[in-house]
Amino acid sequence: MNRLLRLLNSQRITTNLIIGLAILTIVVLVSLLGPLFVDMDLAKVGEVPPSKPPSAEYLLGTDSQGRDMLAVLISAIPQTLKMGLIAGIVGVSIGLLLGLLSGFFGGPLDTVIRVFADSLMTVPGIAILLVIASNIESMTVEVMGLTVAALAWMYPTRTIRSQVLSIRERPYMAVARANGESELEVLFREVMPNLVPYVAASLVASINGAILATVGLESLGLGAQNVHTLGTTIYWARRYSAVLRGQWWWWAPPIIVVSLIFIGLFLVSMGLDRFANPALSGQGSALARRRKRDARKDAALSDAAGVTGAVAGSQAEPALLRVENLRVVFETNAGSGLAVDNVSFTMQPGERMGLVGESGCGKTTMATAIMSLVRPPGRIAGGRVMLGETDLLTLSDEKLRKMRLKEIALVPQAAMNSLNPVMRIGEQLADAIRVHEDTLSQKELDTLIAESLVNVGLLAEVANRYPHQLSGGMKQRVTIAIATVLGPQLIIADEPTSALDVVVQQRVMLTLGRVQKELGAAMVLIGHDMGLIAQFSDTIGVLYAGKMVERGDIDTVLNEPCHPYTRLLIDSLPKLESESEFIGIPGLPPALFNRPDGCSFHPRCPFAFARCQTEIPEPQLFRGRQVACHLYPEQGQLPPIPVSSVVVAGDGALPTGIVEAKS
Amino acid sequence: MTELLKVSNASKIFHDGPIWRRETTVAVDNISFSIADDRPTITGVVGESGSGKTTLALLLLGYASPSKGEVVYRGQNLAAMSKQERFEFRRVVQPIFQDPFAAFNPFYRVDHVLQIPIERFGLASSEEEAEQLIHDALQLVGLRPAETLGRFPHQLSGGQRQRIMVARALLCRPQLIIADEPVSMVDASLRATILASLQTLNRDLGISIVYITHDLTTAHQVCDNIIVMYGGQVVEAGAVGKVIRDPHHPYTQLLVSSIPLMDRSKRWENQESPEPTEQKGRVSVGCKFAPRCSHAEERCWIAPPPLYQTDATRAVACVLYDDNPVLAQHDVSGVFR
Amino acid sequence: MSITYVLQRIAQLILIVFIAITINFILPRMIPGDPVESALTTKIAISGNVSVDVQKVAAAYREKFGLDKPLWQQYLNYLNDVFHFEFGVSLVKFPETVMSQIQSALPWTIGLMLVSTITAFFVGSILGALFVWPSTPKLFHVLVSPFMLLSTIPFFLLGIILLSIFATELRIFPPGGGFSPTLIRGLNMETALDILHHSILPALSIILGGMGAWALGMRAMMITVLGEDYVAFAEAKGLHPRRVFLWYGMRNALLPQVTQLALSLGSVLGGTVLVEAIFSYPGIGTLLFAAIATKDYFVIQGIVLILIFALAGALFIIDMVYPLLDPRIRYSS
Repeated sequence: MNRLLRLLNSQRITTNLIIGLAILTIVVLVSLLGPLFVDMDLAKVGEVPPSKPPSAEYLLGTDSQGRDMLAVLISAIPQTLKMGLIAGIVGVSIGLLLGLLSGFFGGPLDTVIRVFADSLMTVPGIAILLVIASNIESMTVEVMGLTVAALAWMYPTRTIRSQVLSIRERPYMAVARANGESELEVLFREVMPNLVPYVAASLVASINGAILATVGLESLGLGAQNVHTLGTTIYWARRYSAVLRGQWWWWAPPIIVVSLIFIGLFLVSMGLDRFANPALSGQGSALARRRKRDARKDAALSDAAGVTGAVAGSQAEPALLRVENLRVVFETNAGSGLAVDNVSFTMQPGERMGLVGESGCGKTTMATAIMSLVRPPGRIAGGRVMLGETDLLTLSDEKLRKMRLKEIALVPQAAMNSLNPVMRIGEQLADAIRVHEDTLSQKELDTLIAESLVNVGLLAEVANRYPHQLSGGMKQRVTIAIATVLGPQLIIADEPTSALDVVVQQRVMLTLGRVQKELGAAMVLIGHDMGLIAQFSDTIGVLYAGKMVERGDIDTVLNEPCHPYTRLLIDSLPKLESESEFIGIPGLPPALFNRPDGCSFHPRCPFAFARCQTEIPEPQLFRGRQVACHLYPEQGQLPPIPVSSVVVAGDGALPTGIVEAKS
Repeated sequence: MTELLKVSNASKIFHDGPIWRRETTVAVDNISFSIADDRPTITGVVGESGSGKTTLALLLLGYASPSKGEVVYRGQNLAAMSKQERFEFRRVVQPIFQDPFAAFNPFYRVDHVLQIPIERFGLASSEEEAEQLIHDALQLVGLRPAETLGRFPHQLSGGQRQRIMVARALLCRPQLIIADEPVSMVDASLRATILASLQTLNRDLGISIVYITHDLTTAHQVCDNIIVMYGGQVVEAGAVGKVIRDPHHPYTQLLVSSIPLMDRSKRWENQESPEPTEQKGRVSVGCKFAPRCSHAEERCWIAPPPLYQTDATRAVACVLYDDNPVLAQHDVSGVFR
Repeated sequence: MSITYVLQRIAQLILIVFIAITINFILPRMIPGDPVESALTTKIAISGNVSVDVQKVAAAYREKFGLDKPLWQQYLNYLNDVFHFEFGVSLVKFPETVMSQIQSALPWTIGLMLVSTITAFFVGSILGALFVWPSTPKLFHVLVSPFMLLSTIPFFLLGIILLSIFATELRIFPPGGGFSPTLIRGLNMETALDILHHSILPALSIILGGMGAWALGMRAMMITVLGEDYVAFAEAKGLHPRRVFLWYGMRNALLPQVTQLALSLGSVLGGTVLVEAIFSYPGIGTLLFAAIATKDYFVIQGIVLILIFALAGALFIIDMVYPLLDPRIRYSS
């Protein structure tokens, strides 16, 4: 019951599903309740005056045999539905059985079932159905249903089988076995429940297909004899020239009802699709992009409100990049929150800035914000991103496009998916170059592409390959080549090597570093691996819950961190140099939509006091770096972490002396 | 010394492709080691992708059977076990998988994965006892039952989910846990807590652990002994501190030198080299590292070098150390402390 | 595209055709009643020659057609005939061969189906992509619901509706057939236009009925593809939105659409057959219905076989073309 209520409240039940079910329910109700209101005897021949158009007495008129059309319709609906249900249920049952056997047990059984099903699918079922239907003397609705099932079981089998195959590979199957479940238990307890949405979708599709096929045949005279179904009614109408004589009340109502049934089934299947795949939420893209344009204009107008003294001293320096009070908000039905919360920093030309933080801290969002590539449900809500003299957030789409890659380039995370799988490497470099430099001849273009590939340690012939033919390290090098081919001023490297093995990682990072230095470009290196950041960066910025909690020269911050989070983060990381105990940070990072008041870190901070719970700490210059913490400037430095408040290995008890994290 | 789990000259060979163009991959090539039954140990298996460490995990858990050699549990060959013996083995040797999300069946709440083993293995005689067992297990890994039970997997963080998996494993009263990359998909600051709980299981509950990872730093911190794998072969093994701080095998040296250290006084040397684009040239049927090794000799390509025991707690499979005695029975547990 | 791939597909094709032929052989023979006798009885009833000994004539016919031999021998003869494309003689329109009847009807069906399906596929896919294109005028989105509705109505019902509106009421288009009965056909513009005039309603039934489904499918695929990382990276390169949409979006979304086309060919064929029957269009559909009504045994068999071959052949062609579109299959290691 609870599950049902949760389901109804969640977003996954859409209007489509409800409307679809409503339509079908109405059709069914008409057929069930109809006999209560209409005299069904009138469906027999010769009871009423023939060929009369609709009137008060006979709402849908009469046919040429003297039958009340309304009565005929009411008696026809259940016949068609019955046939569809028989075909659907029998077909899906066979499909479920064979799909499970085939997918779960595999081996020769799977091969046999698969080949058989695939072969049968090539046989046009409608033709076979035609032949059978035309030769069975006394066709009944039930026989028709079964025949359709016999010709259509392959489709649910296919669907179920592929689902079972994908489920079979999931780790939770192995966990179930490790928990002592037998193979049969695994099948019923673990696999079957996850098949329910697919079985439902198959059922709807099967019923749809069955009614489609049979109404078609019936309307051409091959249906059940002497029974009124929606299809046979259409046939009689055509047979007695109702179409040519304009007696629309005869042929139109069954067609309308059939169409309603199809529409209802279609809506239900779309609703079920949404169930399984909530990502298909419709027209988000078009409208949201328009909102983003408007938002940027808002940002330009409203930035005056947010500027504080935090960026004191920055105007004097000829900074390359100056981010001022950047705010990016995420708005969903579950709530809204600031992924990037009033972040400000500057970068000099050629500087390497490491941006470190854990998942959910906003580092990737910030990278996309700097390039103005924030996608819905995210939206830039305020601040400025000054590249030289220009505020990137106020640029038109056209100017932004021209600036990307030429001035600011992105080296994306997980290059596995960042390259177009159906385009050659050379083409993906070429179209990037051509957009910004359209005066190059083909030869010059080819030379440039070859050079840029060699420059990142690849052979020039890689240009002719497709991404799937390259290894992970090679793909990452390609993205570095693309990012640096036009000599940008700023490179944003978003966890460029986190998907790579450690040896490859080192080599790729060294290549990236060399190319960056040769270009004289500045680089923002985003990551969660402190070691990597430490090896590479000149300066560092530490992000927590969307805020920059500490920012400064790398040696300054690493050797003597001032912010408690920085300190705890460094301490929690394992080091090769010493075999110390494991030290973790108690609690969890706050959810985006539920950040604490005051300093976001205070629930987990060993030094939190009253002021931390109410007042947001502003970044201040302290001992050569920016730090946002109320401890300063009163405290000279970070006190030693009290032992009792740290989770030490072996102590399963929760730490005391810490303000409880709000859940 | 009795052995809980013993791997003897085990190899696993995979065949791929149609009959007329069979491709053979040797995922695990002649490995022998054992986990002792009388004292709890933490053994690390370290390697990059393609090293065979995940296949080794499958062999240890009995999910795959070796193409050559055998895997023996308390004197019984896994391949020859009866259903009853198999069932016992399943309880005693438990896994922890890498992906904390995919390890849960999305249809059920997280309680499902904790209740089933108690049911199936008969670990409690009443519902109250079962509840108590679950609460104790969760608390041992640092979770609050009130905040965790009754939730669906997507409502919890990756770190919490992985801790539930650790709780699940210990609930079964195992003797050995095979942890395959347990923290690589978990946030940095949460890794410490999970690894700490593994250490707790080892020290306080006497459970042995095989810790499989590509991350040398955590292996160094957690394990007593370590096996380094490359291309399905054991290249080096021994006491963890020794192997990592003073690597002997050229591959181990390469691996260790690639680790980015937070200590900025030890910067990476400029070892930039281009990506090998083609598998041109020879395929080695000997030491798999030969194509990349600057010390490679002709004999390295022809036959895999045996493990040479360079001291009481280290063995290296490299011709550079052939002036040392060959390790007895190719069994690396001989150099475990 | 490796030799393995091609060989596998050819083997599959042969196997499928073989199974289909066998089923086609068995099916009619499972029908109760004797086709020869019933056909003869019909003929005699029509001609009014009551004194003929039906049994004796039937026996002669059976011997002529080989229907008196044991089943396995019939099967072998059948296989032999099929490979020579000898489908026998029409029982009703004797001595016209089945093959000649099929040959005159097939071009109509192929023409109709090819043109309609390709039009529906491309128009539908483009419309589906337009639903997702951000600069599409808002008014356009109003079309989504009518499209959904259209896509649920089967081809033949659309045919009946179109027939009654445009042929019966408005009299713009002819009520059926492939060409005017009064026209003397020749290779000229007049003939071409006449055929076109007769083809529009049947084609429209198929196009309108199929377009909606393609549009909705393409829309769903585009939404998925536009969320991929490589589209985000393409935008980060500063590419023109149109290029991203076409070459990083549509190009990739078309692949699963083509797969879908292959899977749905069977039902499209079935739908076309029914539409032809509604409009009495001189293609395979009408031929099949006429044969069923007169129990013209061999014609039915021949047609079903041709349909099977056509479908299997079309799938084979698609399988050969698909690697040209998807380099991941063309260059698999």
